[in-house]
Amino acid sequence: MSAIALEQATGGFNFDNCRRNELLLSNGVLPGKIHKTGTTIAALTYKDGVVIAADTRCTAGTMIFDDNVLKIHRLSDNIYALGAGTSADCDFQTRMLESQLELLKLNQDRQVRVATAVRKIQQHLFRYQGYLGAYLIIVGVDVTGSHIATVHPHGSIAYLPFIASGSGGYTSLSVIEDRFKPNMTEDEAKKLVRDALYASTTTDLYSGSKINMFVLTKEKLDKFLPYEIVAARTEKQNDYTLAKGTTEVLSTTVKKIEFDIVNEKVKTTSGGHEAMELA
Amino acid sequence: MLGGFNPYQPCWDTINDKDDFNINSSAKTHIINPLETEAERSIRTRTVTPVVTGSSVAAFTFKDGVILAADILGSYGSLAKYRNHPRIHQVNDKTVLAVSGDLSDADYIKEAIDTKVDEDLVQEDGGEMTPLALYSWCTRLMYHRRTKFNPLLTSIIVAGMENKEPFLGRINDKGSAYKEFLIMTGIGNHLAQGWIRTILENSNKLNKDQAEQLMDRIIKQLFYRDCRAFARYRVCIVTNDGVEFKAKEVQPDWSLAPLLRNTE
Repeated sequence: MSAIALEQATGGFNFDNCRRNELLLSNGVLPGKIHKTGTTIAALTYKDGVVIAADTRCTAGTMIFDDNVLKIHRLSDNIYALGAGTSADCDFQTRMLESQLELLKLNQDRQVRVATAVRKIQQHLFRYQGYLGAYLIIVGVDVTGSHIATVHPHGSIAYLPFIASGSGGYTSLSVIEDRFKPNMTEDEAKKLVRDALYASTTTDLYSGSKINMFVLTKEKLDKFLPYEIVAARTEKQNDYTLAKGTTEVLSTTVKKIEFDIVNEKVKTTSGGHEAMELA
Repeated sequence: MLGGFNPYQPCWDTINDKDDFNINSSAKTHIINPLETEAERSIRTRTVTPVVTGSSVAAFTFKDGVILAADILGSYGSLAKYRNHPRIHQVNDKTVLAVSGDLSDADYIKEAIDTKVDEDLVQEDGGEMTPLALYSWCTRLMYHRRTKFNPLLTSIIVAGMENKEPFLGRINDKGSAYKEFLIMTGIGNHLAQGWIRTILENSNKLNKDQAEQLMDRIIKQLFYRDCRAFARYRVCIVTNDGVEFKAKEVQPDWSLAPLLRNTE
């Protein structure tokens, strides 16, 4: 019995599900279709903290599944995660991590550090050998400073001054790399991230709709939901409602529909629901 | 009966190593197998993957002309083998051609074009190849090879001054061609196309110096992120005054290196 209700990971690899999957496949059960986010996510550090931004498009194949997805997940008051790759994996892994970090914070009575979050998710993802398709960017500000780290499904990480990930990552990366300087001001940083996301939402087919942006410092968290709407639905050019009388009524006929009474039932209805008793 | 025997065709096909003489089967003499069409023969001899490749080419139009840039590397897979192989080729005073992808196919195209230019020269009637004419010809060439299942595995960029106006177009190995104010081939497509397109769309027409500076920035970014890029590159500027080549080298900035780490 322990007071710490943390997840106790057993050592080594756990391949139980492989057997189950084989069995399912042999019985003709098809694997579920993976809904990906096809994303652009970007983060960069500036003088006081970090600026993170993500687009809001979720695609399933070539269809836009959801036009207003929040890809920025809270891990702690001072740590946030951006997720690209398989939607469900990002959502659930960050949610699990969030609860573990909360318990850790209560136990250690201190603000959680970014390095802790990164280490925990890295070790968890490694156990699944890349099958959890979560390409995450963990960002946060803690006592040691502001950090951003990229985490790949197999468990590799990198702490970098700026990161752009997802299908539109290449495009965003070039924009940021061209203009990045250490210790930028908040306005410069926001503009740079906005430009990076704008370039990839307009170029990459799987990113788009809106740009969500968070600014995280030691003191504050600014949320811009959305920061900018890139793909705005245009107003209808004309009024397409038809005026009354557009269709000319040529003739009116009223007919009685013949019917036979098949069954008659009489029921009494009482005012309240006396029958409802919680036995 | 000598049905199908053609004395004007070589009997010995060493490349495909087939028994054309039907030595081992006495029943069939000198019969050409109907399945052995030219396309089928070529399938065994064509290049399916590029061997020596050039990386990306970046090109865009500015107020008075077109600017292109490409590094001078021919990669043999992941080996940087030919480090002084310029990929921008001047066709005449107002047309240039840049290539990326398989460089042997690129040389074939260059030779064909040079032959055409010489033929025009010999006529001595003032006829000169214009960029649009070259673009159309390249499209036909690439598509023709595609239909024979023997594509030229290069992307061609044709640039120049067409009727004193800047012209820029690209043809890929399938024969798909388009004209645009900004063209990137190879990985430059992913890395730089979106970035530069938003810059060019949101700014007025650049002049020559601004265009050169922007091109330097582009090549620097490609050098940072492309595994098959090279620091030395050529910039080509085509204006109504003619074609100008410049040899440059990327000056990369590694000052951010201490900030990168993969442990806490």
